[in-house]
Amino acid sequence: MIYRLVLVSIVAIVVLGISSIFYSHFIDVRDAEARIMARDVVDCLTDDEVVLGDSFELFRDCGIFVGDPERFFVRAEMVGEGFEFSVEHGDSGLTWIKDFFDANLVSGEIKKYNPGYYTGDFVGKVFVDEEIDVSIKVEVLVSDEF
Amino acid sequence: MLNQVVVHIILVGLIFAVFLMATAGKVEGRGVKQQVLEKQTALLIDSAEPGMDFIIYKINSNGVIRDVKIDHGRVWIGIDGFDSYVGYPYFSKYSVSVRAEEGKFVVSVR
Repeated sequence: MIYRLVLVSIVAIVVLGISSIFYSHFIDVRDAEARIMARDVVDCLTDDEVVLGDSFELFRDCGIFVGDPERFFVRAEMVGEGFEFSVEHGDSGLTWIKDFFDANLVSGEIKKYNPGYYTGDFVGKVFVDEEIDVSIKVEVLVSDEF
Repeated sequence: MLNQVVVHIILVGLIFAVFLMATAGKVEGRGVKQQVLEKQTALLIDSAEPGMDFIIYKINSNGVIRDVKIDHGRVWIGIDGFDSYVGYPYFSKYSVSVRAEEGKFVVSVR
């Protein structure tokens, strides 16, 4: 009797396992998150009330509350007449993972580990003694969510 | 001998009942519907400006929503008796809260 019960249990577990893989579906919103984060970062960097300097820390000084900050790598570079400023948050090593996936070396299920990514060029104004026009290059990478 | 067969049948029946219930949950896609709702809500919070409220109706195209929670930087939505165990993280410059009203949940960004 025990033998049969064990056999039935194993069959049930195998069928359950297969169905859980077959019916699962992953919805990727990380590219959208990266785009929204880039907009928030630009809004912050061009905000008159934000002081840009050596001690500037992106999420802290921008007041961006992030549930899981390690998911993000953000790099922003601002260039204007006589003005340069750059800031980074997170692990730049994540860009390696992005390059790896971009090289099309993987396929199938592993592709869902491809990070979300957005890079864009923006224009804005900062106040340093006087108002300066700046161009802002923002790169945002959102790592996996597993 | 007869008792043994009856016990055997009952145990096999129980195993298959558990199996069928678990498979039914998967086939109905409750996990996927929950994922859709949590991610939609997180993206709305990410992109919301202060002063915005948005409504999630309890009777929703994704199922009957039992609970919406904002906790530890994550959105948690319980749907069709299926609790959320992972949630989905959001980011925002603003304070986010949720309140239950009759037939709906209201998420407020301030």
